[in-house]
Amino acid sequence: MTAPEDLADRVEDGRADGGSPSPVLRVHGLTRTFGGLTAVDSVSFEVMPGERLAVIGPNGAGKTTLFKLIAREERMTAGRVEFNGKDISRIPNYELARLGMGRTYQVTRIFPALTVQENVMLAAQGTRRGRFSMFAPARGNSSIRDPAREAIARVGLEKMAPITAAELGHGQQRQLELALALAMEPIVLLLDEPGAGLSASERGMMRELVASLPADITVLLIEHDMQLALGLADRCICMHNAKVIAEGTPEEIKADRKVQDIYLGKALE
Amino acid sequence: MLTIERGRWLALAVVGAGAVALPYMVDSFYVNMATQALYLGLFALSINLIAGYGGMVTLGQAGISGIAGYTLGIAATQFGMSLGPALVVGFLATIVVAVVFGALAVRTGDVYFLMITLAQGMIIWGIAQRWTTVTGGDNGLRGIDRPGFALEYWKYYYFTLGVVAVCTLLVTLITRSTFGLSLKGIRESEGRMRPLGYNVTLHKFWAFTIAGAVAAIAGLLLAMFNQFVSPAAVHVKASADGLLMSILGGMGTIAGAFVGSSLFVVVTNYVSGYFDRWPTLLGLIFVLTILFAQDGIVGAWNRLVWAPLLRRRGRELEAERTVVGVGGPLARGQPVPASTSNVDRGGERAPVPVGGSPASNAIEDKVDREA
Ligand SMILES: Nc1ncnc2c1ncn2[C@@H]1O[C@H](COP(=O)(O)OP(=O)(O)OP(=O)(O)O)[C@@H](O)[C@H]1O
Ligand SMILES: [Mg+2]
Repeated sequence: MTAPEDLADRVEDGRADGGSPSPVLRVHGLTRTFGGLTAVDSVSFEVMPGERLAVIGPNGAGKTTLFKLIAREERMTAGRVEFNGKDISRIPNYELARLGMGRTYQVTRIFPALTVQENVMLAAQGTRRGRFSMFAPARGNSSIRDPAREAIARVGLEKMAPITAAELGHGQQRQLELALALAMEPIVLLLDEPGAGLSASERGMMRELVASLPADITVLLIEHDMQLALGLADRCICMHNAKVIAEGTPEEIKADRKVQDIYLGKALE
Repeated sequence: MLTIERGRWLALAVVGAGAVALPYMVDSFYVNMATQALYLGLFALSINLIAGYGGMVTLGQAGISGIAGYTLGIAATQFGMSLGPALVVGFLATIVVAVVFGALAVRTGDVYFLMITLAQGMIIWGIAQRWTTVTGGDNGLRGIDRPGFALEYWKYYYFTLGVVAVCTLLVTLITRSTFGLSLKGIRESEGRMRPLGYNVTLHKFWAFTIAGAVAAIAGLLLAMFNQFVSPAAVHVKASADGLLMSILGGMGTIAGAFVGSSLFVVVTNYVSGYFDRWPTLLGLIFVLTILFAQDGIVGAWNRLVWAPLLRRRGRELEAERTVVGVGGPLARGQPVPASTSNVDRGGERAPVPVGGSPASNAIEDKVDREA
């Protein structure tokens, strides 16, 4: 991972020398129906390595379902997802994690009864060799302990490491959730509303945290708050009623009539 | 000065010394009771490994453990094998059965896992009961030898003590290993483990197999102790007894298995001599445990004695860890200590990006409250 100081200009650097022309994630015709309801309707897009892609859209647009399909947590009705050129439409989700897919959830999913340290250790060891090591103490394995420590430090929970996760405040639990994903050292990171349920000031700090993620991680970010999402993203797709209705740079999205209608309509309700 | 760590080691040393000195202090009746408590404790530990650490409650472990005893008995009495090879055959046969049973059971969870293991135990029991030409049916199999060096009751006690100590050490290492932490994670949330890269089924399968190996050792010790195996040893009741011991002592703790088995042995062997309704007493103890200390005797000890002691010494974090985080599926309803960090402590959060107050403050607050 890159040191935080180098990160301010990561976008430019990432663009300039991100030589690889092939997308790290390619979503094609992705569809999911629940009975009569279509939650995701033939969605297609591509994400380049190191890119920050925001997925915006009103409640029930299908954003979370889209992430679940990409992360193989939900079976797709139709379509195809390629990760680093490999078709992942059929592989189990634990293998996807080992290929480099990390994810956080809209509703926090941590291990409340375990300590912060144990939480992040679990995330670090899941994708690494030695997870079946039976007789060496977990804490003694530096190839697991170090990335765990680094992830904890990155989200600023060092002092909380020995504390049971249940005892953390909501904001800190959201940080821990991010630390779990980071400890996996993912290539692609799916963040589902990292600011969900946070106060205004906490949201600001979560925003900083997301903005300072290492440049080599590709980030897909679901966010309700259009200002926040567009501020962080290189590119943006807007979903509405299961479909992608607009795609483009933050400026293009802001200027888009359909997007304006949705968000204006929502504001008037 | 007596620090907490030293205190802990000292306690272990005292228990160890007591165990070694036991045959010099009491007569054969009590030494045999202790032998039983040891191998039953190992049996309870095998259940604890899958139920307390892995979150899979089993009712078929006696069947698995009984395979070891029966194979030993059959090899020794029907095939005239000498003890050493018969023990090895018994152990390996149990592993094979555990692998097959595990492969079937670990695909399910919760109550289905319970039902499948129950059914597996019943199958073994059925075979033990009905295949009379091989198993001796209701009469069981007699004539299982003890090792030549451990024929007398007190020698067999030491033999059991040694074997159980080594196995317990290995299990302790496993629970503290990377794999052990993964098991805890699976107990807490299987669904969360998969997206972190865990093949949960494979982990459960390994846990089941290891527990099978531990149960095999316990089963062999039992068969050699009684020099006899019978269908009672593989009955569902024996499985339930093991689960009971493990819950009484404290799920998800190593010591709990032995505390539970000791209590069980004392009630069944000793109290039963004075009191006809001892099964009722055992039931009552069990009900009280579930009502007032779901984390078992060891869990309650940690919660009520150990954690306050640590707190008094200002070792808040360790105290928390001692209490929360232990305990099996039954202990999950335990109240978590009141949150200390939700409260806004305005302006103090510089080093922590989101919603955090520095841990040191939280700790100081608690210590203050405690004092
Ligand atoms: N398992 C399910 N069964 C039935 N319907 C579902 C299921 N999961 C999601 N849906 C429906 O699919 C639609 C899209 O839901 P989804 O959670 O993806 O929306 P979202 O864009 O993430 O919304 P929000 O912004 O509120 O999180 C909703 O109408 C939802 O009710
Ligand atoms: Mg959502």
